[in-house]
Amino acid sequence: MTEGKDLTQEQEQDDSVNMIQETMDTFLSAANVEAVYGEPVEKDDVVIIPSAEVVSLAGFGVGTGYGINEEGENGEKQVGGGGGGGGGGRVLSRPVAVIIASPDGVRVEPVVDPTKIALALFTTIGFMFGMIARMKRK
Amino acid sequence: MTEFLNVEIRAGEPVTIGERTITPFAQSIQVTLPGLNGGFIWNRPVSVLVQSDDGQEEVLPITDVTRLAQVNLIGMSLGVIALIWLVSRIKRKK
Repeated sequence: MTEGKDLTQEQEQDDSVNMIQETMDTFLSAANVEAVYGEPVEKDDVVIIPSAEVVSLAGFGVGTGYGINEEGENGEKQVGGGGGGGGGGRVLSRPVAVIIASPDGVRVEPVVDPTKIALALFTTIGFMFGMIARMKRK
Repeated sequence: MTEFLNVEIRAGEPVTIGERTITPFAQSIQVTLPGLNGGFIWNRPVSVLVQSDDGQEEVLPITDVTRLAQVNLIGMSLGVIALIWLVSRIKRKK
């Protein structure tokens, strides 16, 4: 009886590990070139291939637990169990450049994000002034 | 399980446009934490290889101008702060 329940517990743990492995494999399959370069867009003689930076984050966990009460109401063993799991992830994408192929040749045009640059600039200025003020106080 | 850190440059499917074949390349950095179920993947375009029918080949690098500007700004700020700290330290010693 106990062995049967131990086997069930082991089986469930194996299933959990397999599920984690499958999910991780699916997550890692995102590391391919197709995620970075988009489908070419054709217009007249010009073909444009977009490219982007893609960042993927994922994390998850699964747990199971069992408890055995040696003596129940009728002197029988009582088994209780439970399990749970959770996970999360995020995918961030940002355009980097476009590759333009025309009869004149192939060139790469970068995609500039002025908002991000402005944010970095203001953060930098604030950080500099903060550190300078702190140094002057000392 | 996979390795802790894996850095690869992979080639994508070549695209033929007229007399040219364009092969894109992307870099993939994979971090999987041992013992923890999770990971991080960073994919970015690196370059494209342009091959002509007459045998000419050209590699065009892909520059991430936005990232470059951000890194330069941060580097500049750290440099300025380090310089000011150094100057103030020299003044204190005098």
